[in-house]
Amino acid sequence: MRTVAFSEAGIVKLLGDKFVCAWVNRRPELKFKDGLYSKDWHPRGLPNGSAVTNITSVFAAPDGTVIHALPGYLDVAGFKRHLEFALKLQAQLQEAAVKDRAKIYAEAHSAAAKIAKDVNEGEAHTLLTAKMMRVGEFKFGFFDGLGNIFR
Amino acid sequence: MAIRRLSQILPLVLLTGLAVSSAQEAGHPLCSCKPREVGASGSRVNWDGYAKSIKWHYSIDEALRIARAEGKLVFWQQIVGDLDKEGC
Repeated sequence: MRTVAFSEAGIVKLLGDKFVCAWVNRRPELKFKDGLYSKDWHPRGLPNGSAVTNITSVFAAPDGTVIHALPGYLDVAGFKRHLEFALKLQAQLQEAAVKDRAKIYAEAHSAAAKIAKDVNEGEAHTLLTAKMMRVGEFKFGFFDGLGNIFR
Repeated sequence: MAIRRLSQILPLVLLTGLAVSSAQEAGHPLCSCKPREVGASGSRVNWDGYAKSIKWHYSIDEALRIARAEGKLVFWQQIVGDLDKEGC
């Protein structure tokens, strides 16, 4: 993502205009002795969130609520789609009464799961429907069940 | 005298160094190298030579504070591991 998605002009503009960006390396000491992609590891589908590797993208509202999250590498089209999903959902949540927000959030992720571009994306949306989280609650291991193998 | 003492100590120093290095690499529970989060300073920096067009913050708290002030969302990229060779 560093050299592809984050270098694409449209994404750079969208991130600059609509997002404040932060990053954290949770285990910089972890070495990939055999490279990131070992011989016996097979990515699930196309590089569209499917190649679950050492990265997780989290999209949060300014109040610290996790709006969306997805494990793995995202190509330009996939990343844009998820940025737009987060923006659209945030707009819906902002307009809604506080008591309705959890329901709107769950319904949006549930609907997105049904039209997901790949299995991984669909499963990530499904996992997220369970509850709205704060960024402090969101751990890298949240997507372990989807094959997020490097922790 | 000094050389003799050094020759007695040197093997111990080397062995200790090897053991610590091995434990660090394996993430040994007795080693002090617990997983750490890089950058709590909150300074506004670029991501080590990559994605220079994007302003990255090390601190999620600072990112949220700015997002509240500017009416933006936060995009928080979580990664693990050394990124020297390959990877996202």
